[in-house]
Amino acid sequence: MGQGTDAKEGVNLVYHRFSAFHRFNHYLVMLSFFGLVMTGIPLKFRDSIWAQMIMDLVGGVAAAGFLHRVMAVVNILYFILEFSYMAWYVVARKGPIFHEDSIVPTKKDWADMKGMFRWFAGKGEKPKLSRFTYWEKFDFWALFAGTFLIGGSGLMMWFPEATTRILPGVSLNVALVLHSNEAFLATGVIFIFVHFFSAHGRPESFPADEVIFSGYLPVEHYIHERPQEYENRLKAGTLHEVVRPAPSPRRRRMFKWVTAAITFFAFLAASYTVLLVVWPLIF
Amino acid sequence: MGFFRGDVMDRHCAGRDRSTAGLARHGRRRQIVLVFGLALLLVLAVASPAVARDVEGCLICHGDPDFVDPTPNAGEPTSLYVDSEMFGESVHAQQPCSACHRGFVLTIPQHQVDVDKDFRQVAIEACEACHPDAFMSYQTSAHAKVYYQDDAGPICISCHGSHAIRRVRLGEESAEFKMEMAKDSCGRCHQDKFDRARDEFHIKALNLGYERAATCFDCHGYHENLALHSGEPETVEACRECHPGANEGFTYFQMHLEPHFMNAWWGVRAVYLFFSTLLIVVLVVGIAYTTVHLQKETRILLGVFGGGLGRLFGFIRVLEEESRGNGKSNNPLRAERADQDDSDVKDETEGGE
Repeated sequence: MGQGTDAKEGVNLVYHRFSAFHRFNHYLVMLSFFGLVMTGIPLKFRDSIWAQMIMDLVGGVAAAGFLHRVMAVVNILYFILEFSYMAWYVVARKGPIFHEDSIVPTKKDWADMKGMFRWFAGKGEKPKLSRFTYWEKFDFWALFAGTFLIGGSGLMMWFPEATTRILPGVSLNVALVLHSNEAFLATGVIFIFVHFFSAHGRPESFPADEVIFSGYLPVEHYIHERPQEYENRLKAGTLHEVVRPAPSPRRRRMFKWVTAAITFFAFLAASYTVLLVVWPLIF
Repeated sequence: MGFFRGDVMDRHCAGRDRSTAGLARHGRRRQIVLVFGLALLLVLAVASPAVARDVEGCLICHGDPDFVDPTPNAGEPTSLYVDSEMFGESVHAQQPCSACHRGFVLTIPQHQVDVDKDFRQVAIEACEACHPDAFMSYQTSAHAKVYYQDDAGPICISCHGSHAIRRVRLGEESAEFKMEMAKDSCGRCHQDKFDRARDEFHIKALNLGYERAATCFDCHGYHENLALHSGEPETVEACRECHPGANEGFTYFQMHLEPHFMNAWWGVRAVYLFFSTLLIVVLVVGIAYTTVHLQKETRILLGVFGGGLGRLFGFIRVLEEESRGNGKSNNPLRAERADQDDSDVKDETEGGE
């Protein structure tokens, strides 16, 4: 939420958390996810009047099918980009894998989770979280696995004739069940109940965490949110690598508007999806 | 036809003998007039307002909604009413009644000459007279087999109706029409199959307005009513109508499965069961965890249910302060400030308990 620091006090520093590459990938994920859900989920809940509404809005089932495939290509693109980045990180950059800076789950995540539950129960302090928290890692790997499964089964159904040249026709039944159920899981659970709330809905970042759109957050926000990483960097003397002067006010304003627009759209999309899913259960 | 006699035409004929050219042009003009006239007639015939022709005057009596069989065999009197407006909109509106109701005479009270003839046989013969191809296809179908063997199967009018048969162009049916036909014609007897097909991609897409999506008769045929078992050549042919690259393996896609895939291959059921379980587990755990997490960080539930609106506004004020970064140092490199932040958090936590 906070936009850098108060210029009056003279200090104007931000913590640089996400590179342009990662932000670009998140934009791609958002774009393809909303596109895919909007054109895909009305088929699953076609009895809801809202399904017909969104189909008419998009321009009919044929147009929705075309859009779904375009967004699937975007989906595959970001998957390849992310996969290439991980390969580059491991092979070329030789970055640490089982480390707090990496997205791979470690023992500390297990300890953090237990610590958080203790804190929920009022039996201890809040654990000091590091660069990636355990719920962020869950978000990432759930999406990673989900993309692989949904993308694979989607490609099978996109080219059914080619698929059945290799596999029996019943494989398309499996693909359909998997695609539909995993997509619903991703939509309803990861994005509405978990991702939107755990990444954007926490009081530090409510209603949307700008850091994924702009790449930076105010340093005091950072210290409050990721005390462990801050301490580690302070000890290792690498704080200067991530702390930078704040961008120009114009740029900060721009990101504020970008975040506001995306938040509004995400809220709309989430409400629509909930409505679509809940409607047939009630009426 | 003035515009056909333009400069282009004259220049084209300039080299020829004038009179011959004139004659040829005259003949061509007559041809053109004839073609346009016929086209106009056709357009008029198609676009004319729907009115039943009724040259025999049957609707004088049968057009009365209260017109019933005056000699009921038993119980309720049979209505003999024909909705003339509905019939007027049907594809057979221009046909005289006797075109189908063959073997009837205009004597009252008994119209039918051969009284003992089964009305269904009369009906089939009536359709066959004008639609021999459809009738031949029907002869090979499972429907016909049941009709001829057990005297119970559906005949033409069972699916098509009789007086309200609509005008459609094959291959240009609207999604609504295809959906309606599948529901009312096929679904009337094959309710279970229709209900299952509704949960499949083809009819889902059709239901949402995609007129090219296949419905019952696009695969099973209009009159042949093929059973379409997996691996059979006729099934491959049926799939190839829309999926030109379909092979034998393609036909092993399982159609019309029961809810929850009860009659599907075990692999399908396993995947379905796994993901349904996963969905419920992640949903329950996710909602529970998120609620606890957010509650701990914001105490918003306490605010809403415990302390009333005052606490809720307190929560909003906390958010605002958080967003402004109030009460915190702007210098990140002073570790003691960070420590104090932590102790602030601790104080808050203890205060809340």
